Amino acid sequence: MPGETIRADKRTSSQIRPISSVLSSLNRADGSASFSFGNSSVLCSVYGPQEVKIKDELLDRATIDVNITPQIGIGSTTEKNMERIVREAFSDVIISSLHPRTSISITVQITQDDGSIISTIINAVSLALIDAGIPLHSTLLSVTCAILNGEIILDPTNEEMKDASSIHVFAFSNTSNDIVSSESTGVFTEEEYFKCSDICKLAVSSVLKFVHTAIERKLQKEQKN
Amino acid sequence: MAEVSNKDSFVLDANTFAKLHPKEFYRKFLTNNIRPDGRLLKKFRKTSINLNSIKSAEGSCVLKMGKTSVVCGIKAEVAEPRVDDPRKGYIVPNVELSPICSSLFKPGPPGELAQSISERIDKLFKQCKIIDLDKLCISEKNAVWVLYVDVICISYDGNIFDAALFSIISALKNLKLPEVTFIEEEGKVEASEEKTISLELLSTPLSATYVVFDKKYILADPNEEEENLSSTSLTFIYNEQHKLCGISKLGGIPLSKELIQDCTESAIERTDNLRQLLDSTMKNL
Repeated sequence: MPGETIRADKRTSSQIRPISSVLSSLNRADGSASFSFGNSSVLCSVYGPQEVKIKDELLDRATIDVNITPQIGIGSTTEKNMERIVREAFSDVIISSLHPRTSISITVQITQDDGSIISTIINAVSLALIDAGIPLHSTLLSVTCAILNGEIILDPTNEEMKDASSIHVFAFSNTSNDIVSSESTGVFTEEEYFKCSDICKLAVSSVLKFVHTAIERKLQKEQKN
Repeated sequence: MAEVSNKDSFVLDANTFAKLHPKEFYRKFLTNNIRPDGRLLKKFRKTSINLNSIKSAEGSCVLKMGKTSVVCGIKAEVAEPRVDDPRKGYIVPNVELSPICSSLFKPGPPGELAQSISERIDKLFKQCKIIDLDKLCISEKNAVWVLYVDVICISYDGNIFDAALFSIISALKNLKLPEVTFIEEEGKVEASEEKTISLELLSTPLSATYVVFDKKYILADPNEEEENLSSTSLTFIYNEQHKLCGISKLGGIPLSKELIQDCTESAIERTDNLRQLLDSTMKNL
């Protein structure tokens, strides 16, 4: 669009980084996927429904277990917080009542972090769950945006997130127009929040198109073999 | 006769019904716009604070919010600053949820909830400029203050984030640091016994939390049972200028813009009330 500022990596403010994904890349997992927004990429594996530890057992639904490992070292409070966000976001997306007294275990390895990492994780988990054939109510996808110098920029990199006045992570499902999960930090107004939500919703629909093609291609490949 | 008594024994009393069908029990109340504990849907629990009750800490606050109670203590220590930020002190927030407060928590390393709340509060400090970290500098490159902000929950009945954040802000507002001088020749910091300085807060963000029950009822300030029954929660953090310092919506039920906007007014009112409570408690000290 004319008049829009060009960012350090030559994107416009409403442009997300190139998306890529590989499905079923892990041999032993029930389902796996890697997903990346430019230089941010994660690898996710899903096991389940499988045996559950007695202390975690739920009588009416499956226990969802999320583990996130950072690039370097062991997980800190940052990863624990992300685990909580991801688990709670998927708690109502996975039809867990179909598999009571089992566990669905989601393991995420961050392979490269260049901003918008929570969104990258949510998208990878969604793809891995589909790949594992876990029953889902809908497809949950996420995009991050940030407000930098009063302008809303989509899919910020680490560099941009550092200077941003606020950062907003939104997750939308393909079956509803409403916000499924959101996490905003920094100082902002209500108006800005809803503006960001609208912009992210648009971006999520383009991610959804990508996900559809990715799955279609994988199925076509499988049929050929 | 036997038949009649049999019939009687099948009538559930309210407590048994609440245990067996907790969701149905709540629905019966919520359709009448009231909650089982007598509160209206958007009503917060009675909150009270007690300041500076821990004499060994530099600042402290005991907070009660219904049956949730937390203690916040701030310990100040002198440390060397980071090399990349030689003029900045630092703040280390930590929230502890031990088996003391509820059977939900097990002994051992902090669980996910405790870690997640500590992380959220840490992020808030980093992104919303609550304290000017330069003011925590004693001597550039040599000594700065480190504030260990510890929140310990002693009774858990839901909504721990609101309780933790309000107790931290209250304790910080009452923080009294000893006046110190850095003696360069000895590389030591000397504290004066009498003189203390307080820290100015640049902003006072406070939070209000809601849960969504059955996709349509919004309950403010949930207790433990309400938290368990609803999978979606909404937290708003407002500063004194009524600007947002954070929104987090956890959980998978989609919420429309209208439902979210519905909460913001009550959240502003709640955070303003808390601020007034803090001011009036400080005046009466």
